[in-house]
This record gives sequence, structure tokens and C-alpha cells, in this order.
Amino acid sequence: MLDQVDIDTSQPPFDLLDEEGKAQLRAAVDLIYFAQDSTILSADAQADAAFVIAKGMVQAYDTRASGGERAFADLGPGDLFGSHAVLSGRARHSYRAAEECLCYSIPASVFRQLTADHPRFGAWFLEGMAIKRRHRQSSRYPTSGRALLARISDTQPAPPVRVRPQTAIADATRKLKQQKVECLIVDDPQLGPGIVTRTDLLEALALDFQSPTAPVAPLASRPLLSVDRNAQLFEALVLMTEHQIERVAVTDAGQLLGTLGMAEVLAHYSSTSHLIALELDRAHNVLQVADAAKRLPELIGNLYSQGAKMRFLMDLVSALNGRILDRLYRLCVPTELQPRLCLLVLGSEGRSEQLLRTDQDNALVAEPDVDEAALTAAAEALSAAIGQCGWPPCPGNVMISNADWRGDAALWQSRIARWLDQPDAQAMLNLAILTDARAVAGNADLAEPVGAALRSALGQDLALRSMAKQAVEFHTPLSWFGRIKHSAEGTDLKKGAIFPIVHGLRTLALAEQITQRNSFARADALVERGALSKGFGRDLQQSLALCMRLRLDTQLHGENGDHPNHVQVDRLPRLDRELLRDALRVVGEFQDHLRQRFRLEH
Amino acid sequence: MTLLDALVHTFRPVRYSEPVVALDLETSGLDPRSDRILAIAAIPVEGTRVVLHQRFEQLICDTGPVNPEAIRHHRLRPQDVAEGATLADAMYGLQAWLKDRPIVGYATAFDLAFLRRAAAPLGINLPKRHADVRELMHQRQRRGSPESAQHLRFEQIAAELDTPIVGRHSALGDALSTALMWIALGVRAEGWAKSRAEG
Repeated sequence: MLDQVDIDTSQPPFDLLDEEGKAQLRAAVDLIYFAQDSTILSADAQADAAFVIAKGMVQAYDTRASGGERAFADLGPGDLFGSHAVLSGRARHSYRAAEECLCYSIPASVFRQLTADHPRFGAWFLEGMAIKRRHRQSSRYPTSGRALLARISDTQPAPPVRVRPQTAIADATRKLKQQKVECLIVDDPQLGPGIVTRTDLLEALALDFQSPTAPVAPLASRPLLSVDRNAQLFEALVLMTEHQIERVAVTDAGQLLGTLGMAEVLAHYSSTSHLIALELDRAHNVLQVADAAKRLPELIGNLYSQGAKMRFLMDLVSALNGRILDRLYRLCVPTELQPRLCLLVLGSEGRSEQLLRTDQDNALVAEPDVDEAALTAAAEALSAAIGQCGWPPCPGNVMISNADWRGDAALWQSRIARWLDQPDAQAMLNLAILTDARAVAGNADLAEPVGAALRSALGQDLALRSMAKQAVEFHTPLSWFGRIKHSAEGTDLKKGAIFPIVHGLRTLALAEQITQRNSFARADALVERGALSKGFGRDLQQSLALCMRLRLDTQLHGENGDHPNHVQVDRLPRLDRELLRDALRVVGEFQDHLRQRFRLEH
Repeated sequence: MTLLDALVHTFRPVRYSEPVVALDLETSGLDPRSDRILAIAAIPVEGTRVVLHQRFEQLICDTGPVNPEAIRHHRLRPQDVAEGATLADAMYGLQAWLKDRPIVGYATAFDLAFLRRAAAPLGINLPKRHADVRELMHQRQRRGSPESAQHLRFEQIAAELDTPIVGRHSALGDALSTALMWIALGVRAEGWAKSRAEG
């Protein structure tokens, strides 16, 4: 509803203008009435204004390659449209009033002047999604009324104490003590900076019997792994976990500011991944593993509220889940059987994209001569333990307690052949989730022939086309006003966005014989092969991350309990709504791309 | 042209399609003979466009007795209007800005009574043609159901026309709300807005 006379310049992207720019904007804007069904902007027509909706709803239409139009988005109060038309001179899309509307009109000349005079405002329109995401991260509006993002700059890095490569170990140790630091930066003009920690010096003297007069140069670790001071604290944690190091350098625009240790990072997280990992290592029975595993959702919630990026979060969860499953495997599978079986996680867990445990999708591959009864017993014990640790049973019964999801490589190959032979929806789904399989425990070599059989079977044109068909089946125009598309539970993100992207990338990856499982990694690999343009690959990744974030947000807040994949679009902050609209557009374009690539009918 | 023809032409009804000005005043009270104008706001309306960027807004410096009741209504305290123009300057400014465009208001007679009293000693001629959304709504409701009670309060009209109320009891807000009522009445009476917007 209209609660002020003038256009609201406190909302993005107008908040990127300075006071003078805002005044210029307000002094040029009119308010226009549009009757229901009237066209506000026509595709390919010249646009003399951009619009911000003051009241009512507007629908955006794409012109399809095959002719005709397709509604791709609903826009509501506060939404801006026509900016592209104004900047490029021609409208890409048509916009029609879905009901009586009032829109602020911004004359094209003023709009162009503002984008020219205010680089940040201009970048919003020229750089598209990336800048909107950055803006979202930097803007102060509450994401969920919870903690602010923890950043490296929120910590106190230790000062960088520098020594020369020829400095003696004794002198270096003295310096360490005097300056009260845990590590030294070794400046080498040839090799660049390296790092020597207290432990390095101690071990050199006590374990390697080096002389205190020996130079520190050979002790230094290189390259110096660093994080920018504006990075999220979480990135330091991931970097340390990945490289198994306890200290990283902190830089500001490339300049070394100091160093940051694991202890300081962990102090910022009340419940830590590190502690969970330690607890897992010490667990001696399933109950203890379950206790550690139960803390994972809390960890995810904490990290998420502190602004951790989706990809980092998923990597960490996947690493921890892998450790949980490996621990359970060692506890539940008899020792002599352990090297003769391989536990696979499928679907989202296989792609390392699971955040909150949805259900257990898993499978077992056995050596050919493993005793049937022993296999069954191990599978049932393991499945029960996994259930105890918080993975609900799979509703589709895709789990190792089901005899259909275990067996030797030959049995798996015959299953794959059967599914391909009768490619109904269930068979296609089975093939798809098996494509994403990842070995987490036991003998990973056993899974290799299964994966190879699957890739060669699915690499065929016919199979690829049936898979691609599924990815283009649903198209979800963004709707949040019940009047157009009534859906009380909200917009189904899984069906409308996540599945088409994930499944489409999976299909393209199979077609290009790319073996990566993670959707983000698949997109990277597809870009590298030239199968996707760089910009489009990035758009897909960002769209996927956004939808995952919105879904996680809904799930963490316990809203929409029965519909964990739905978001209430009308309750989203305006910028999220805009990002989601962009994301759904990307999904639509991706579906068109798939149709073309696999020659599917419209 | 006969005198009668000239009169008919001068006072011909305002059409929805012609350029008008939606106007609202805030005053120190309800009596045009003794109370004073504190603020004038007017916005041009051209067809379905509210020409916000050409609006007229003027506070008037007022040193008269304070009416707490009125201040509660429009929230213009003496210090708020202290920076305003003199009434004479405001009226000259309004005349130059208005030209001969018809005035549209809510209960327009009230505002016109204040404006005329201020204009007379200055030799200012106000536009002769005006329209009142309250009166137009009254006719519309009578045509619908002559017997039933009338709903002509500002809020009721906005609700019936489904137009927003913007910043109630500020001159500019009320002028904009009135402009939107005028457009909505026109759309519903003539249906020209639709064909125009589509053309």
C-alpha cells in the first residue's frame, strides 16, 4: 500500500544513491494508474520510463522462441521493472497490470543519468545478480533478526612478527617469547613469506636435533594461506580444516595484517564443528555417535545465522556426515566384512548438498562372494544405527535395509540395465540418485564398476533425453498473490527451482562425461568444457545457492512444518524476493537450454 | 457567441480526460470567515498520470491564534509554518502555477471558500471550473441505490474506489489521495483509461 507520497528511496537499489541522487529521483517521478490487463511495457518497444509498483500486481512475460508469451514473474509493491528496457533502449519483456495498478514512473533520461552519476547504482543494473547478492550480504536489514555476520575483522589477529630466513632458531624463539606470539613470518625475497610456528621450532630442536644456531629458513611452511579481513570467519575455519593447519594469515587488500589461530576462530562459535569431530573420534558406541550427531543441526543453525555461505556450510556438513557414517560403519559392520563392503550415500548427500538430514538414501556394494545372511545382518544393523543418529528412514525405501539397494557389482549392473529398459518415473529417479552416489565408508574400489556402468548406460542419447525431460517438466512463475495462483503452502522451491537445476546439471554432466557429483562443481566443470557459458554457470550456482538458503531458512525457523520445500514468498524481504525472481528466471532459461541441447519438444 | 453560450462554456463540467489540479488545504480551523490557510498542496492530474514532479506545495507563515484542535488534525504547529511564505506570496505563486486548470478536491467548496477570501483583496482570479469527488461519489451512489444511506467520508470513498489513502491530514497526502479518487472515478465512469492505456 502507498504510505508516502514519494517513491521510497530507502529500499534497494535506490538506497545506493546519495542524498542528491535521491532528491533528483524524487523530483522527476510521477504516479500513473494502469487498468487491469493493460500493457505497461511491450517487449521490443522503446521504453521512455522505468517503473516502481506503488500498488497492485504486474506480470512479466517472456516472448518464447516458438512464438507466444509466457508469464515468468509476478511483481508487487516496491518492485522495479523496465530498468533494462530503459538502459538498453529496448524492452526484453512485456509487463501487464494483473489488476488495477499504480506505478511510479522514472523518466528514462533521469534513470540513465542516475546510473551514470552513481557507479554503485549503475552497477546494480549492469552486473546483475552478483551485486544484488553482495548488497544483501552487506546491507544491514535483518536476515532473520539474529546474530550479525561474524567476520575476520571481528577478531583480533596476532601481529605479524617478521624474521629473515637466516635468523637462528634460538633468536627466533627469543623473538617469539618477547613478542608473545605463536608464530613468525619468514620473509624470503625469493620464495615469498612463509610461516614458522612455536611447534615447528620445538620439533626442530627436540625431535630433529637441530642446532639452536641453525637458520629457520627450512622450517617455514609455504605458501602462506591467507584470508581477507573482510571474509567471513567461517572461511578461515574451512581453510584450516581443509589444509589441516592451525593458523592462517590475515590480509587487507593483499597486505599482511597478522595471523589467526584455530583457537581464536573456535572461540567465536559456541557449538563447533571441531568439537563435534573430536567427540566423534572418541565415540565408542552408537549412542555416543548419536549424541555428537544430534548437535549438527544446532551447529548448522549457528553457522547459518552468522552468515556462513551455503557452499561452505554444505562442505562442512558433508565432511561431518561422512565422519559420522564412517564411524558407524566401523562400529556396526564386522571387522572382517569392512574391507569387503562399500557404503554409498546417494542423492543430495552424495552430492554433498545436504544440510538438515532429510532421509537416508544409501546403498551397499559388496564383493561377489560375501555371504548373503552376513550382508543382510550388517546392512540392517548399520541402517538402524544411521536411523538412531537422526536420519529418518527413506519414504521411498531407498536404503540399505532394503535388499534392492545392496548387492555385488554384477547385481547392480543388472539393476541398472533393468531400470534403463523400463524407464518409468521411479526407475529414472533411481538412476538419478545413484548417479550422485559417493563412497563414504568401506572399500571405495568396489563402487567403481557400478559408477562406470551407470555412466556408460546413461551417457546414451535416449537416456539423457528422458532425464532432461524431467528437468524441464515444471515451470514455476513466481507467484505470491493468491489471486493468480492459489497455493496456501507457498512456492515449492524444490520442484520449481532446485530439482530442475540439480537434475539438469546432472544430465549435462553425464552427457559431457563429467564425474563430479556436487552441483556447484558440475557447473564449474561444464563451464570449463565450454558446455555452459561462464556467466550462465555462475547464475545457475547463485540461483541454486539462493534457493537452498531460502529453504534452509524456512526449515530452521520451523515454519511451514509440513511443507519443508515451500517458501512463503510474500513474507520474504524485498531483496530476497527480487533475487528469487531472478533465480526463477535463470531456471527458465536453463530449461530452455536443456530443451535445445537435448532436442526436446516444447 | 451569446452571453449564455459564453457562460455555459465558462462553467462547463470538468471532464475526466482534461488536465486538472487536485488541491487540498490545511487550515487553522473550520470557519472560512475567521480561520486561516496554513498549507496549500496541489498536484496536476493528466488523464491517468499524477504529475507529482510538477506539484505545488506551500506552507504559510501564520501568527494568528493557535487552535489545538486543528493542530491535532493537521499536525502543523506554529514553529512548523514559521518558515512559510506570506499568504499574499503564496496566493500569487498559486495563481501563476494554476493558470486556468480546473480544481478538483474533496468537499471542494470548503477549500474554495478559504481561497476566495484570500484571493479577493489581492485581485487574484481563481479558475472558475472545479469538481468535487465527494459530490461525484454522491451522484454515483444515488444512481446505484437512491434509498440507501450515503457513504461519503473520505475514507469510505477511498475504500469504495479501492484507492490508497496517503498521509492523511497532510495537504500533499490528501491532495494525492484525492487525485487518485478522481482518476478512479473517471475510470469507472467512462472506461477510457483502459483503452487509453492499451493504445
